[in-house]
Amino acid sequence: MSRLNCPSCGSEVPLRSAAMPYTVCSYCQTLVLRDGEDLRAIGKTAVLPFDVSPIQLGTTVTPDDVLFMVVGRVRWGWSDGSWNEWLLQGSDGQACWLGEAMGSFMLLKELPAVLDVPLTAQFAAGGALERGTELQAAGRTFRATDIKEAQCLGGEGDLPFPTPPDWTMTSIDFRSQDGAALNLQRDRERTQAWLGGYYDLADLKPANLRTIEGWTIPEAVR
Amino acid sequence: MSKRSILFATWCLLMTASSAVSSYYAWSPFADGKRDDQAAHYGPTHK
Amino acid sequence: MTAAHSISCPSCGGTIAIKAAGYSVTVACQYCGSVLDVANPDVKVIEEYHQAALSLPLPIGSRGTLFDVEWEVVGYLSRSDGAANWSEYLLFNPYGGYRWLVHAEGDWQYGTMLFDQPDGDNDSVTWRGRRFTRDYPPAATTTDRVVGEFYWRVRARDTVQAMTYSRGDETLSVEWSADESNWTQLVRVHEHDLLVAFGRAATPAGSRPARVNSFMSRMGSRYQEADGMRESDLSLMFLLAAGTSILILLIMAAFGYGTSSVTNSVQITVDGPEQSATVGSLTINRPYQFVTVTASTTDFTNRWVDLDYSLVNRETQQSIEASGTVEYYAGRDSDGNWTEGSHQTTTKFAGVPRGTYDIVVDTSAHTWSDGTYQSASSPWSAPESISVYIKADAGGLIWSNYIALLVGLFGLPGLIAWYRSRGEN
Repeated sequence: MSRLNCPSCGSEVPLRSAAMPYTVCSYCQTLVLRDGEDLRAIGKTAVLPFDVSPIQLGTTVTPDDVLFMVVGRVRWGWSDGSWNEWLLQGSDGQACWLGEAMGSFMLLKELPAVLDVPLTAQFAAGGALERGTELQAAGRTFRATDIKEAQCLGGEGDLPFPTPPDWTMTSIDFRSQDGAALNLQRDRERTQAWLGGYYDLADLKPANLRTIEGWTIPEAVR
Repeated sequence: MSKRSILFATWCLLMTASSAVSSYYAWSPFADGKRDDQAAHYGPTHK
Repeated sequence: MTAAHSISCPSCGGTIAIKAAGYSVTVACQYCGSVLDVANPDVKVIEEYHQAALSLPLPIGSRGTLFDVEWEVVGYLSRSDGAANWSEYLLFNPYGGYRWLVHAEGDWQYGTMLFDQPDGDNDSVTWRGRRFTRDYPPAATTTDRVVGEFYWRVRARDTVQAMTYSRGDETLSVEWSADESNWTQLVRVHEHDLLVAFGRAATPAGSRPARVNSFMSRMGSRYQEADGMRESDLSLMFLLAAGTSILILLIMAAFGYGTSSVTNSVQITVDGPEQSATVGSLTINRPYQFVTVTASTTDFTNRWVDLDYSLVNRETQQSIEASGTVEYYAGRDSDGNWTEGSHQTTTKFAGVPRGTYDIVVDTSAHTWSDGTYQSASSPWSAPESISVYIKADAGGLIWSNYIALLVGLFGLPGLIAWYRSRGEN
């Protein structure tokens, strides 16, 4: 793991993913853009609130026998709560996200094909999508269950995009009968579609989990 | 009828079968005298 | 000190430690009952109350290990649906997520939220290959009171529609409103084990601390499959055991039905020479048969009679041997008078093969002396004699066999009943 010096405060900031252009300096909350050898401070990100997530930067997970390391995080908040999205960098170079909410985990892989579906294209263009709307994707029928207007509550680690405090997006969750999930995220610039599956922490075969004061890591998860 | 009950019913059947078999052969580990197959000795004969 | 985010209640000023920091959205102040919005850094009062703190069987903050994971009680809801009231406890572990404990009419259930939702209709649903049938029509369920922290917006008097489907001891519960539906799998847990696990009840002295455990103790995706037994299963087991025991008795009696019988008597002198006599001959008609020999004697005290029996097969001249003793003693010690023994004895032969047998008995009688009695035979007294009446029957029932089978039958249900009665104290 290499390090860089924050252009704003000079502290040493660890770099976990060479592929990700943005990094957050955890000491001064500066968003840093890496352009080759150049480091540029491009703004600030909000201070992340205290939480008891078992995942931390540097945690590794091995869902379905592929090893990933947690290299970054974005936290989103909406009117009725907040959640974390952890950036996973695979040993094969692939990147995906681990959504964490209410103690459950969802592995999200980008599925751009969904954007071609007329319903999604319309949403991407700025249209609305109602709860209960059905969508066909990945060989299943998905039904829209939640629509959230979310705001970025901060970020940490290495990220593919900057996480300024005024960043907002519309997030729609879909669920299928067999427990699969679909997620559409639309912000000012673009829309992305993600295919997700639910996992328990134990199924993710995690290592290097965060130690939380007053709690021992249960046997099943160790 | 749960799995437990069915298992127990089978066990009862086993008990019944063993009672029938042991009664047929008049077998008992608690009896005082048994036919001794190994030492086929010849006991007192009538004089 | 456990990881927590402290806030102070804007209504009463009490300090509240938020355990599921980052997840909890609503907190109901444990001191005054006011419902607070903690989704954002600035805590807002949603509903103000001035209630007294509740005393709960599982207080907020108590911890217990269930299914190999330690859980902390972080929230409590009191709910009702017109037909019943019950309590729901929200359990949390940062590495385990959330679980539920439902306390209704004295019964406790452990609940896990489902992400793979069941398939079905109003009457039955299928989940993970198992079929569940509906218990009752949809009921409007209201949340009456809340304490602690929750990961969704909770308001008192929130109402949802709810239904449950059951399969033995496993229940699937569904609650829905216009926006969403949530399924939970519930399995029964024993109250005593639960209270002990949370340190709310003492374990019986000298026993191991009770662990709430199931056959598959992995938390998370391997949702607990309760292989528990209903009360009716135990009654069924006892019924089966009783029925089988009667059947077995009939079988043994049928096989043991006596076919022939001979009697004779022998007179022996105490401390005299051994006497030999032939009781008679018995014919065994069945392939194998028990032979029961009963010896009863005239009265005596502090003597014993040795009896050595032989069943001699007329054809093969092979003999089967057994012995018995008739003994009767009386005396006096610090506790008073005592007696031991009786004036008869039964000896049983097992596995006697088909054939005709002569029953021969060698018998002798002896004095027993503990130093306090004189020997019966002295040169000046007439020799004491005992008459022994011997009866040999082809047939019989060995009661020890029967008792062994009874233990085999009633042992398991009896053990379960005893274990249960111990647990439900």
